[in-house]
Amino acid sequence: MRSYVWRELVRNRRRTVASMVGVSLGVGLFSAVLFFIDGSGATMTARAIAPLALDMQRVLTSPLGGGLRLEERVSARGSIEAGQKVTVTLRVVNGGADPAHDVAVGDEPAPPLRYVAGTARLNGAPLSDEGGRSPLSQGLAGLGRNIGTIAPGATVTIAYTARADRAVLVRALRLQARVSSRESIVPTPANGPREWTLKELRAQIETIPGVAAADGLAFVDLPPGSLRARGVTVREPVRVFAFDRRYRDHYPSIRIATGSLRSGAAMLSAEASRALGIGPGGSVLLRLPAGRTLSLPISGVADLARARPLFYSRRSRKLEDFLYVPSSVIVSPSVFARTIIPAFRTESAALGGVVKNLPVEEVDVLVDRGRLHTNPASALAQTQAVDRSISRIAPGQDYLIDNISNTLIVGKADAAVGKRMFVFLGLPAVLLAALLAAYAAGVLADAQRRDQAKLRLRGAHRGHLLQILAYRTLAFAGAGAIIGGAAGFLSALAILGSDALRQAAPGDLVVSTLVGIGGGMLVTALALFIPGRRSLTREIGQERRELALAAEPAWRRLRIDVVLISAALLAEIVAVRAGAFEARLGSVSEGRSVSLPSYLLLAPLVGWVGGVLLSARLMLALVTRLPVPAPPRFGGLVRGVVIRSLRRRPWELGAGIVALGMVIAFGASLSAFMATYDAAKRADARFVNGSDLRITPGVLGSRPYPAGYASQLLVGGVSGVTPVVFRLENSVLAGRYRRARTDLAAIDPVTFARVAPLADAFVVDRSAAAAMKALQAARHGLLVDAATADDLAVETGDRVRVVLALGTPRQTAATFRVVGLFTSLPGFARPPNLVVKLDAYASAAAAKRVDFFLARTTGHGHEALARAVAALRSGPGARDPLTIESTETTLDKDQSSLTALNVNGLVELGSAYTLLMSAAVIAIFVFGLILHRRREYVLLRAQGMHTSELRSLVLAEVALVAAGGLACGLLAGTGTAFLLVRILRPLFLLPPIVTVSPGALAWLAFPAATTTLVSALAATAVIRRVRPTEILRES
Amino acid sequence: MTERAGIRIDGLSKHYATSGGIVRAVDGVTLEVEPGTSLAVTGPSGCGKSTLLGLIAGLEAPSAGSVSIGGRVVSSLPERERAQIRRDEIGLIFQADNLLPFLTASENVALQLALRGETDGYERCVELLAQLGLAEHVGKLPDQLSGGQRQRVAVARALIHRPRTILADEPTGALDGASSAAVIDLLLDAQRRLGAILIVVTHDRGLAARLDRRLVLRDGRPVDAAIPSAAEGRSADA
Repeated sequence: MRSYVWRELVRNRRRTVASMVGVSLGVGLFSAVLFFIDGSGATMTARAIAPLALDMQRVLTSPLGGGLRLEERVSARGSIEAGQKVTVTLRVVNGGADPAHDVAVGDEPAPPLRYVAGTARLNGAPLSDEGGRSPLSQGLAGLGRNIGTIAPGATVTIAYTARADRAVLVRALRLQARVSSRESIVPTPANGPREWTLKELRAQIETIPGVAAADGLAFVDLPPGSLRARGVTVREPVRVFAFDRRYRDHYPSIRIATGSLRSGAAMLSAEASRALGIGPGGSVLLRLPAGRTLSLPISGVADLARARPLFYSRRSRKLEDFLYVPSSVIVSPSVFARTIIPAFRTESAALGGVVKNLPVEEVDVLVDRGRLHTNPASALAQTQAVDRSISRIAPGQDYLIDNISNTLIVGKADAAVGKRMFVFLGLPAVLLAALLAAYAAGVLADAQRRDQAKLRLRGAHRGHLLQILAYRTLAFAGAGAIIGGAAGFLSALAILGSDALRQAAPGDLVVSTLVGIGGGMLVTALALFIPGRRSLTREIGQERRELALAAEPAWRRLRIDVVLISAALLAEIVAVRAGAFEARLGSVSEGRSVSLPSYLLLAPLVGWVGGVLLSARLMLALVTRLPVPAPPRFGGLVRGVVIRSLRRRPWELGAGIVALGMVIAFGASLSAFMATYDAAKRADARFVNGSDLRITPGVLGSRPYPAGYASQLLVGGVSGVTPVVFRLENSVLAGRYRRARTDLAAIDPVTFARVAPLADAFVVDRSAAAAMKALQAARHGLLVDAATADDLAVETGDRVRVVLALGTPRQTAATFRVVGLFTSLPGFARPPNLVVKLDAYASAAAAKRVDFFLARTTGHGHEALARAVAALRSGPGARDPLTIESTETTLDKDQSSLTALNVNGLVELGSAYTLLMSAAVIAIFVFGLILHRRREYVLLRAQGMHTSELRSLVLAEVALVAAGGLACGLLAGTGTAFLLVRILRPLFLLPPIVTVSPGALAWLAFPAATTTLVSALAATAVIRRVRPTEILRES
Repeated sequence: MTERAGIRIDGLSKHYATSGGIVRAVDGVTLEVEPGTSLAVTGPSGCGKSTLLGLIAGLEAPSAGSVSIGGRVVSSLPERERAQIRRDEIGLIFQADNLLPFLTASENVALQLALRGETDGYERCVELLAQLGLAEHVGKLPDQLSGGQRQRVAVARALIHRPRTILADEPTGALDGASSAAVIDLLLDAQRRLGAILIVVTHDRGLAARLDRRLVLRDGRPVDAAIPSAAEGRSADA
């Protein structure tokens, strides 16, 4: 049997190729998608952590603490019997060099021990109980006892008696004593390790495998007026940083403009240097708490405007906010430890002294990113292991902010969503493989039926035929799947490049290979075997009848198309009601990834199949209504024959239309999806950037940049510029009942409306243009973010007080009238709370300086951007330090890393396979047509039909299949793309609009049209070669 | 017989190259058939009868020799002109009815006229079908007709354009006795009415006996020159 099947496959080469080509292409696409997932996933870790400023921060909880330690001992050894009394001894030791003030010791006897009233002693002297309770656990909160000041090197002993309620092992007791002081306000547990210094921590952390570097950083905020030089005082808050050269080497966003970092000297931020009119060689005076001052020589000037590690918020709710403090001073760690910390310690020790801003000391940890696994899930396990190792060092003394693990948690979820999305984009490939296999099997049924009949005549029984079918199926599916798997790997390699696949885990690639080939083989084998087996069980007569005038397909009889479309619509309705399409951006800082429910991903799949079938039903309903020339006219020869053939056996073409429609719909949906995806990404980038370009004057510039500087930015390639003032927490809005710090942006409504991509969806209850007009018209108009308005009970029309230029010498309050509410503003991934008119802000706060400018280019695309950027750099950029960001360089850190996935590559892959598959479908269709209708064609030749007429006949039918398949495919594909785009709404800031690229669709139609023509020509050539006498004698 | 009106076959051969060597399907057949006469081609299966018919119809090109119809050497004409001769001058009937399954009985017949550019000969088709006893079935598709009815439609299709030559390959091979007789009667009647040449490939001795002459082929070669059927019948009787 095997040799018979082998000979049959070799002898009928065209039939073998026709059967295998569909399987190979379908499995090829599916495998390519799987390999693509591996390759793309391999870059997700790097992509996820790319925007991260600090990997991990080990923050000391008691920066002012001076070595206060607490020991707790229980007098018993081994075990304690029920009712037995034991003595609990607490020893507080001040191992530091400074006194510890307001030392509070708290303790609750470890269960089942219970305090014996009146037994507490402090250094041997009785301590009175409080309300019958232990003096070390007072009130409901169990507050400790303030034992006053402990001098450096001094020890205080507290002891009390406790009775056991039941027997207990001493080692099982969970001792709970803790100590705190005014210098070290976070309670420290008893028997903890000794307090580590920043230097010791750093040295210890550096030894942990997976840690690339650990650097100490300390900083503290000083109030306005704390920085002086040559009689000039900086009237803004000042931040003092302390780090060494190593730190700067590890974080290159700290840029030194002039001079260098020197021990015992200070560097100034560019803004502080300008404000004081001083540079290297001069000296500054820092006013510290407790009336102390610190005079330091200036060793350099630094540009800290983009130093993310220094200014990223340490507040857990705003971890990724860049809270920039323009006036900064950098000192050496030793100066910070010797002078600044003691000043704060003294201040906090002073009776009634209140230190609002405590110094922060931390070890910033750089994880060895090169060693991280390319897959975010595995990388997360690695960073969490590092996290655990760091946390094990001196536990309880400080806390760890594990930014990299938090990011990778989101990255892991994003990767999972990405994989699911890719799988769902790849699933049609498996279905197409099965469809093409079944389709090829269907069109070859006539030829196989003849072969089977011959075998039956020679004595083959059903078992033999089944065996032959099984071998044939195995050969087609096996060889096709293996070829497909190889093609898939090569095509993924071609699109992703060898580096991406080399980075993928070998295990993942092996699994993809097995799933691709195994899954493809299984599905296509079933698609080939089931119809073949069904054909064997039927009577030949019945099959011939079905072949004579192709019977109505089961999907049409069972209305599967209607069922599928209804299911897709139902899923859509459920999703809309559940709010699944509402934008909910992923956020690393909020530990939130994009939510993409799987059932929604099924909807496009179901819609794809249902849409094509329904389109085919409609298309063929039209075909069966084609006008047939009524007797006595036959009509033109070709037209008369073609129309009657179409009308009376539409389902024979229907299979071809459905098969081609499926392929084209897949390609069209990918094409529309890609066009939409690209347009949405561009729109998002433009929105986040504020316009095509965002120009930020550098802090090293020698002069301020007022709104009027916009005119200098109007260079060739730039059609409009608008100035913007914006700082985080630069204002306070007084609401109806309470007030809150707010982020305020000041804009020029007229130019902003021209330059920024405003949309009506961003404004509540009115158009964006109307909102800008209202802001322009009102002298003190104010737009309020809808969430802020809700939070502070502010409504349109209200008059509200706003503190402007908060924390600056120009701080002032003014009354504004709320002229509208908004939800988003271009230029801000997260909207500001307030928007005011720039001239109103400037006059109220006497502030002329703006923070950045938005610019619109004269054209779109890469070349227009490049032209404008070049003109800006060679023009104003040559005189002033300008940072120019374009829509191409903007990376929104909060946007899901999914949007950065190589979806284009995947779509290119899908499109390439679509082109090949559509050509294959038409070729298989024509090949099947010749096999099935060769007797008809030969008969027509025998009756005197010319070859050209025969060619027209074949061409007309194939063209109808091609046109029908294209029409159905484009229709269903656009619908599928619409569903896909809606589902992926959460990936984008702005609602994406389905974009259809006529060029891409024409590109899809091109191979179908070409193959139609070539196939029709080839078909007539084949018909001419067959021996008519033999064919016509066949019964 | 004038050469202009009849069929002249001269040294006609058709060879095929197969994996088993050269197959000589028709090998040096020479023959003349006069207008208004009929010829039965008989012989065992595989002796080249159908191939000979295909060569006469111009469906296949000969390996050697020539076929002339009405004075034109058909075998040397290009395919397009051979097709033109078939649509104008030849009526072909096959063992299997070979009707187009998506055309009604009348449309199958009318197609032959449409091939000649006659797009409104429908009434003639209906008349002819009625003459063949199919008046009730003109609008039926082939799978709604019996085997005999389908073959009568095939006969009508072969005759509708009044061909000068009627070529029939086992026209009764798939029919029962009564249907066979009816089909033969139709063919002979048409041949007489049209004054056409009728060449029938058949195994049926009875049918062969009703035709004017008989050519027996064996291994592609004529066993003897075509002999009058009556003579053959006499020799057989003897």
